[in-house]
This record gives sequence, C-alpha cells and structure tokens, in this order.
Amino acid sequence: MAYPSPVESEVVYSSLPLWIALIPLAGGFLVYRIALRDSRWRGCGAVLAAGLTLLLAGFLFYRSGGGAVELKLQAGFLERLLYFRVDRLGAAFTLLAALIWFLATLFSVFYMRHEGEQNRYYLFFLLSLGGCLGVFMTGDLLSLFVFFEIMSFTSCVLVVHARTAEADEAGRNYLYLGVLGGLLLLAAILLLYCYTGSVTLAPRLEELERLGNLRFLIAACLIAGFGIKAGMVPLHIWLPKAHPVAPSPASALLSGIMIKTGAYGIIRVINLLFTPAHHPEAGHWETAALLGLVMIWIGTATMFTAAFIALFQNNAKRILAYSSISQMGYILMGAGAAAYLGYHGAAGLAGAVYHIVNHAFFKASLFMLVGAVYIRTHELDVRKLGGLWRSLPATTLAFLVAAAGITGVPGLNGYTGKTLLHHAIVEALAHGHGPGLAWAEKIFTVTGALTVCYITKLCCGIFFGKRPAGLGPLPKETPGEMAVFAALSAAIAALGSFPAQVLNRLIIPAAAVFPLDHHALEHLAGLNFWDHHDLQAIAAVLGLGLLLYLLFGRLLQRVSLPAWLSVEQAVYRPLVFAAGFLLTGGGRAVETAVDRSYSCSPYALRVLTISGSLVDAAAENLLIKSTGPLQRACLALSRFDSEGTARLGRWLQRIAVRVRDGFYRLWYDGLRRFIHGSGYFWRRIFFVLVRMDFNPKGIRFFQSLNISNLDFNLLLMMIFLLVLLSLFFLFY
Amino acid sequence: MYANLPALAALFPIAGGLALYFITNYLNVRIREPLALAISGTTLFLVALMFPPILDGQTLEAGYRLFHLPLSITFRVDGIGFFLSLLASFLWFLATLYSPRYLAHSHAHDRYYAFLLMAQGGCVGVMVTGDLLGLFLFFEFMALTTYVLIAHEEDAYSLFAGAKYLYLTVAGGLAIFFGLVVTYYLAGSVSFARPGGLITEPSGLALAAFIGFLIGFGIKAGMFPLHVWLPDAHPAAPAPASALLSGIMIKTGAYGLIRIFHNVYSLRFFEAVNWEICVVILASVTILLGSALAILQDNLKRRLAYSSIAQIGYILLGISLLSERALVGAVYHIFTHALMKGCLFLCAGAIIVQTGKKNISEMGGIGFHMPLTMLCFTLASFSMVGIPPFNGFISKWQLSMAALELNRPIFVALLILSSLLNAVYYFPIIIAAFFNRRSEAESGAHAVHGGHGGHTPPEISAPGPSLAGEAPWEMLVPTAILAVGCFIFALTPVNWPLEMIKTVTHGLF
Repeated sequence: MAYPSPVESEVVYSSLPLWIALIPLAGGFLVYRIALRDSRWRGCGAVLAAGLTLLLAGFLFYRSGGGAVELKLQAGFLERLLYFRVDRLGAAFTLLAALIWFLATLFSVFYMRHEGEQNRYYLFFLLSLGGCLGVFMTGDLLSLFVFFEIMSFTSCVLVVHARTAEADEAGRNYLYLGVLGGLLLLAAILLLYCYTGSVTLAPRLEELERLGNLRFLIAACLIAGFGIKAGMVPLHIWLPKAHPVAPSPASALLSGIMIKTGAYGIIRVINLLFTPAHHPEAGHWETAALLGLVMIWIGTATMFTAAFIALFQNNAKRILAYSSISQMGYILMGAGAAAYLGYHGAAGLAGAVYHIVNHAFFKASLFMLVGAVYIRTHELDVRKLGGLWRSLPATTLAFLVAAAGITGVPGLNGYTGKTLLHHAIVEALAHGHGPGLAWAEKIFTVTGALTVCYITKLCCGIFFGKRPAGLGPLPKETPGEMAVFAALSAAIAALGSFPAQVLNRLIIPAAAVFPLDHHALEHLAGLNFWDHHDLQAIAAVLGLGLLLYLLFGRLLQRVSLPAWLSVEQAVYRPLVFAAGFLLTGGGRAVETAVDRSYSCSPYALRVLTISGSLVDAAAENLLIKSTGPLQRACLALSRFDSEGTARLGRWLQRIAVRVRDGFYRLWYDGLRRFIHGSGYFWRRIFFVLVRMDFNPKGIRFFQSLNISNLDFNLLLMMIFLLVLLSLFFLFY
Repeated sequence: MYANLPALAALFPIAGGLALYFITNYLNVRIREPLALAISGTTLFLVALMFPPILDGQTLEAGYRLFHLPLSITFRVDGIGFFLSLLASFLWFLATLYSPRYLAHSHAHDRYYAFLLMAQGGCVGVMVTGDLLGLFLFFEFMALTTYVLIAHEEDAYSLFAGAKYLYLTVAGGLAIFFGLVVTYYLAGSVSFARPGGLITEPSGLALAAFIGFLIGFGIKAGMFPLHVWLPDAHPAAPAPASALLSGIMIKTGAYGLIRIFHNVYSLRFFEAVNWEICVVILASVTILLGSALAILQDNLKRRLAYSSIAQIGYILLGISLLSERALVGAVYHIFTHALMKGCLFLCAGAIIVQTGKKNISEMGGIGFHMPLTMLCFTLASFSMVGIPPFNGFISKWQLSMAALELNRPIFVALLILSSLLNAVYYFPIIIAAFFNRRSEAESGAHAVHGGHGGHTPPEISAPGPSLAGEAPWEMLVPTAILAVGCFIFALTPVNWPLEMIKTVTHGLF
C-alpha cells in the first residue's frame, strides 16, 4: 500500500471548502433572523445547518481521497489569496468537527430549553462552527489565522453565555488570551511572510534555516499562539474557567474540538512547516528535533500537572476541563515525539491524530452527560451528587463507556491512542538515549493512573454512592438525548474495537500528508494492539489508578489546592498587574507632566507679563517719572502762563489805571485847584492884557509894557495867552 | 473645465456656509438643515467630479493671484489630495446628515451649521491647494472655524477646551508660517509642484523650518508632546463635530507632514540628514501613550479621543518610515480611521442623545436598548483592534510589513502591543453593553423612574434622556454606513481603496 507524499499528490479544485465554511456562517445569521420571528424553528434550523455542513464535510472527506482539495479566492483584506487546501488530515478533522458539532447541536436542542438567550446562542454556535471548520481547511497560515480569529471571538460569546460573575471573568480571560494568541500568530505570520515571502503550510525547513535564529522566534510565536488555544500548560489558565461556566454543549465543543485547533496548528507547524522539503529521508532534522524535544516536555508537563490538579477538583465540569488539558498534553507529547524522531516519527503522529479523534468523542460525550445531569439536578459539585444510576441508567451507561474510554480500558478508543503514544515515547527514548526521556515515559504512565483516579472520583461522585437526601425524582432521558449518547458511545466503542481499520482508513492516510517514512506507516497499519506487553501496561495503570482512588478518594474530596499555587495567581496576575501599572501609570505620569507643562504656560505667561510690566515700570521711571518735575514746571509754567501772566497783566493794568487815574486826578484836581486858586491872578493878567493897549494912565507898568514897546514875538505870545484865557473864562 | 473645480470645491462650502447663516437668520429657518445638507452634498459632488481626470493620471492645477502677495495661490489636486478630500467630504456629508437629531435640544443651530460648512471648505481647501501658502491659509481658516464647533456648548468645560485648542492652534499656525517664510527665503517658491522638492540643501534654517512644520502640523495631528488639546476638545464638542475632528481634521496634520516630507523636502534630502527619526520616535511614544491612557478613561468620548492619539501615532509612524509600503499603510489607516473613529463617535453621540450617559461604567446592558448602534460600535471596535476581515487589519498588516522590509521589527512588536491594548480598552465596552445585565438593572432602575413592578410602563410622552431606545434613523444611517465601510471593501475581491492608495502614493516616490 503506497501513500502519496504531499509534494506529488494530485490536486482537486473545488469550491466545496468555501461552502462548508459559509453554510454555518450564513446559516447562523439566517437562523437568528428566523428565530427573531418564530422561536420554534431555531433549534430545527440550527440542526439543519449543522447537518448540511456535516454532509458536505463527509463529501469533502470522500473527495480528498483523490488528492488535496484546493480553492483560491481573492479577498480584499489579504495581500494574498484566501487559500483553502484540504488534505487528508484536514478533511478528517473537518469531518470530525462537523460530526461532533452536529451531535452537540442536537443535544443543545434539549439542553438549551433551560437557558435564556437561545437566539444568540445558536447564532454564535453556528458562527464558531464556520470558523473552526475554516481552520482545518486552510492551506496557509494567514488564511488559517483569519478563521482562527473568527472562531476565537464567536466562541467567546458561548463562554459568557450565563453572564454570571464567573462567566464574565472566564470570558474576559478567554477573550484577552485569545487576542494575545492571535497577535502572536500574526507576529509569526508577518515575520514568515516578510522574510520568506510565503506563508504556505508546507515542509519548508530549508528556507527557515536560512533565517538563522529568527526561525526559533517564529516557532516560539506560533507554538505559543496555538498553545494558548490548545491549553498548553503555562498558558492554559483560561480553560478551567471557561469550561465550567459555558453551557454543556458548548463546553463539549470547546473541549472536544476547539482546543484541538490549537493542537492541529502545532502539529502543522512542528511536523510540517519545520520539516525538510527535499529528501526528508536524508534531510537535516535538527531544528525539528529540537522543537520536538521541547514539545515532548511541554506535553509531559501539561498532562501531569493538569491530571494532578484535576484530582483535587470537586466541580464536575472543572474536573473534565483539567482532564482536557491533560489529554491535550498527551496529544502534544505525541506530536513532539513525532517531530523529535523526524522521518521516523510515524507512531507519534498517528498517536496524536488518533488521540485527537478519541478525545473529541469521549470528552464531548462526558461534557454532554454531565450537562444532562446538570439540567436535571442543577448541581455540579460531586460531593453533593450521588447514586443517580437508578434514576438515569442510560446516562450512567454512556458515562461508564466514555470513562472507560478516557482511562484506556482495552477495547475502547482511549486504549488504542494511548498505546500508540506510548510506543512513540518509547521509540523516542530508544532514539534519543537521554535520561530525561525515561522520566517522560514514567510520567506518562503515572498520568494514566491519575486519570483513572480522577475519572473514578467523578463517576462515583455522580452516579454511585449515596444519593443526597434533598434530591427529588428526576425526569428520564428523552429519546433524543439517548440517541446522541448512543451515537457517541458507539463511536467510542467502534474506534477502540477496530483499531486496524481506523488506522488504515483514517489515521494513516491523514498522517501520510507529513514527510514520514512510509514503511513505518505501513508497519503501523499492521500493529497488533492486543500485545500482552501493552495489555499488561494498561492493566498496571488501571490498577494503580483504582488503588490510588481507594486510598485517597476520601481525602481528595476534602483537600483543595492552595490558591497561590496556581500559575495564574502566582505569575500572570502579578505580571499583568505590574505591566498594566507600569504602562498606564507611566503613561499617566508622562501625560500629567506634559499637561502640567502646558497648564503651566499661563504661569509662564504671567511671569512673562510680570517681568514685562517690571521692565515697563523701570522704563517709565527712567523716562517718564523723571520728567515729572519738568512736567510740573511746565504745568506750573503753563498754569502761570495761562493764569499768572493774566493776573500780572491785570495787576499791571490796574496799577497803570490807578497811576493814570492818580495822575489824572492830580492833574485835574491840581489844575482845577490851581486854576481856582489862581483865578485872581489870571483875571488880573487878563485885565492887564486887555488894558494893555489903552492908555496907560500914567501907570508906570503900562508905560513900559505898551504895545509900541513890545517886540512882535512877545506880542504874539501875549495875544495867544489872551485868547487862551478868554476861552478859558468863556467856557469854564 | 476641470481646472477650476478644486477652487470651487474649496470655496463653495465657505460661501455656502455664510449664505446659510444669513438665509436662516433673516429669511427662512425651516430650510436650514436641508440647505446645509445640500451644500455639503454639492461639495461632495464637486470633489467627486474630479475623479475622471485623476483616474487618467492628470493633476488639476489652477493659479489665482490674491491680495498683493508676491505669490499666487495655486489649487493643485493630485491623487492623494483627491482621495483625502473625497474622504473628508463624504464624512462631512454624513456628519451633516447626523447633526439635526443630535442638536435637536441644543442651541445656536445657525452658527453651528455655518461654521460646520466653513470648516468643510477649509478642510477640503487644505487638501486641494498646490502650495504652502494656500495650505497655510486654509489650514488656519479650518482651525479657527473649528474653534466655534468645539466651544459650541458654551459651558465652562467646552470653553476651556476651546481655549486650549485655540491657543495651541494659533501657536501651530505661527510655526507653520515661520516654516513657510523660511522655505520661501531658501527656495524662492512655495509650490508643491517643483520636482525634487523645494529645500535641497541641509542647513540650520532648513532644520528650523522643519521643526516649525513639525510643531505646526504635529499640534493639529495630536503628536505626542503637542496632543494635549485633543483629549479635551473631543469630549467637549458635539458628537458629529468630534467625529469630524477625529476622523478628518487631525488627519490634515498628517497630510501636511506628507507634503512636507515629499514635496517641500525630498526623500533624497532625508536620506542625507535622517531628521525623520525624531518623528518616528515621537510617533512611537504617541502610540504607546495614547493606548495606555485610553485604558484609564471612563468618559467614552475621552477614551475615544485618546484612542485617536494612538491611531494618529500609527499614521505618523507610517509617514515617517519613508517607504512606499509604509505610506500605503499610513494613508490606508487615515481612510480606515476616518471610518471607524467617525462611526465610534457617532455611536457615542447616539448614546448621549438617547440615554444621556457619557461614562462607560454606566453603559452596562446598553446593547439591549440600542442594539443597532452598539452593533455598529462593535464592528468599528473590531476594526480598531485589527481583526482580520476588517480594515484595521489591512493597515496594520501594511505597516508591519513595511517595518519588516525596513528591518525594524521593533515596530511590529509595537503595533502588536498596541493592538492588544486596543482590545483591552474596546472590548470591555462591548462586553458591558451586550452581556452585563446586572449594571443594566441598576442603571435601568435609575433611568426609568417608578418603572418597578412592570405595572406602569415608562412614560413615552416625555422625550429626553430617560427614554432609552434605538437612535432615530437620521443618526443610525450615517453610523451604519461608516460601520459597513469598516469591512465592506475588505470582503470584495479587489479592495479598491487600497488599490487606489497604492496608485496615488506611488506618485510620491
């Protein structure tokens, strides 16, 4: 039997992947629209949409048998084409996801009767189906990233559905870690695209090795980005919070399928992207081996830590959540072992893929069964439940099947997957010769025992033991529920009972898309799972687990782990707090400083104005105030000019007038007095003059003063004097 | 026939705004809103008319001699000017459509519309002039008319914010004027049309002019140490004005810097002197600071304002990296941010009008009262965070690729950190709006007086803040158009804004 290698394989062009992604996306909105008008049809519509998707996914799986199904679409938001490439692995996961989603949708119809906001629930239920299927069908990292983000954001709404305080808390965690994971992926994609010019998911180790140490940064970003979704151990903190609060069908999907997208991404990265494109049988696998070794240890740490914590939980869904993390550890360890072994890593890869399929079935089954219990009892605490096997026999039976599956009871699917993984780790141990991997193998075994222990605790806590007094009669399972449970149980049994067929038809063709040694794959196909070594190993694990439960079962119910032990409390919260404090506090300090410096500008302005006014005052003192006296003098002068001179003038005038008057009066009075006083003489003179030309009568005086004696001038004077005097007497 | 279109497009709304003021004041008050819408729409149409020649690769150019200056004002539209003026006119049209219902209970409508239209003229004018002088004149005109919009409420806070804005803007205008004068002195011309740039020789004066331009345009853009007016002006202004302020007007600063980098100086010049480093550093600080401070704000519009500061940091970063792809990212982010931030501010305005709530802590459960508004808000926020099919993803992708091509991966880390912070301050609003029934119950009991027990329905007759319901269609339609704009181009096979931006930015290199 020859399997085509990815390079040689034929390509089928088909629009099928687009339809598979679009039907749930569009169907979600359609169902919402219909449900707004008539809520009776929403469940039916959702089941129809999921069913149609399942049919198409089945058809896609059939088509992919002939070679990878490809589709390239131009989309405005991507620099490249939206690239769908569904190879056998992608098709298998698409089918698996569609199947589990279909069953969960069916179960939702029964479960969601007890919850509110069903319209929104179905809308986002279908939207996240579209996103999730898109992740499995894309052929390059960028397109994968797009669908990955759609799934992250839409499933967040499912987590916070209940809208209690815990749900809000869980939703916040889920959202922010989802965003962080997306951004890490985006960083890796940007680096990859910029430095290699392509984001295609294909063996490209040669190109990547040319980038030097940058390839480790890219790998770290990709692994961390997908690891958040996968619940890889230091990044798993959202998971134990999100699962218990989400509605049970949503938890089933979160745990059964959605976290697998993270594992799928990691497998695509370390087992495909970081593998040599040419001559894988002789290629340099060092980088891949290193990543594989890291991943083995991450996986081992994840499986053990989570299983250990699960022992101490009492909330049924929380136990299952930790169990999911633990099982993801198995898967990651398988992928790591495959990468570590490089060309010969067939067992690890087959184990990882097989376990993904297995875990999808039994964990979905367990979550839905716990959900079925929850809608009847409204209780999730295993200490407050018990003895339900009488009331719910079918549920109990299905639970036992799923529990046997997860613990690895031979004949059921967990056994096959774990056996393959065990083979892988043993091969890695043989190949690597390191003392460390021997410990990894031992931890693997111990974790198996712990799994048995916590599953037994869960099973006994709910279905066996003493039935609590307060519990009334419970409604029986509906036929629909029983159908869902039966389908899941049958799948668990079938996957475990016919491992050879499953390997040949499903797992090995899927694993063949990776550059692996085909002979080793063919060898796997003929593997005998009923080997007594494997059976003994699993028997030892089961026995140890049961023993542990018998010894410590009581204790485990009472003891709880201290809060400070959780990585969230110990690391993330202080870290986020410190980062937030630094960033916002620093930002606020800078802003305050800047703002204050601007707010200070009025003060600066005031200083400026004050100093200006000081300068102004000085100038005024020098230039203007000094002119004060002068000014005053001028003022005085002007006042003097306007008033003094006038007064002086008036004064002088008055003096002058008085002088004049005085003179006048003196003259006038004097003259008058003189005239009055001297009147006699004047009259004598007049008469003298008048008588002058008469006969002198002998008077001596007249004789000498006769006209004939007078010279002419004296005569004139005398005549003038005479006229004057006559006038004087005449008019005065 | 096309040559005079740019001048017409810039001056028509100014004249229209003045005419509107007199018409509504003295003739007929009822046609105010339709008239304003018509003027704004006509401007949009006039700008759109330039598309055919621009598509042919022409540059529309016409010079006018104004005043007694030794220079003439040139109107010159190339691809980038056309694209941005089209974007501005479009957003203005939507804001004008949105305004009547927002201002229904406000005052001074005539003044508001007149100045809204005049600011539109100024803003379009900035983008269609072909020299520094015209750019400066229209820039100042826009800045001063905007003051009236910011101080519209006339309460103490908006007057304070307006004063802060005014003084900084005046300082910025003076700085630009200084640069303009120095450029004229050094080059003897201030036209953008000269190939190879105006200033070609590095000198002390050239540096001084560069610093002047940086301060002037940086103040308008909200670059780090000059951003202080922005967080006060946005919450104070009416929501449509905030949308324009954040969506378009602060981008004129970025546009001015593009012109400075490519037309006043030249790429070869910066290769020699590397002065752009200071812009790169300031832009990085702007991004971090804006995001960090946005987280602390409780007032929704204030948070959006700080977010604008962060986003303008992306744009300035893209401009100052001086590579073609970075400029594509920057211009695309101008486009994206105009749509998404416009949408977010319009949503915030609708919330204020319908419920009177301004603080995020009061908005629990508001998604149940105003589902469509909050749906628009959600879409725009997704674009803000940069989730793939949305526009924000494209600009971040382009910017990151540009940073990587220039071998500076530190900026990719910066962008990614900033995206994470965007998520931290946008998602809680959405979560509270759609999933927080508890605070809704509390605030609901607060808002609807006497509505306990369900017997007495809330009084419908009294309109006002207590009546929480979906926004009226006049407010919803512009919001929804912008929200759809945040992703619709990304879903079509060819993202034509991106293609157009690639073409127009290619002309600058």
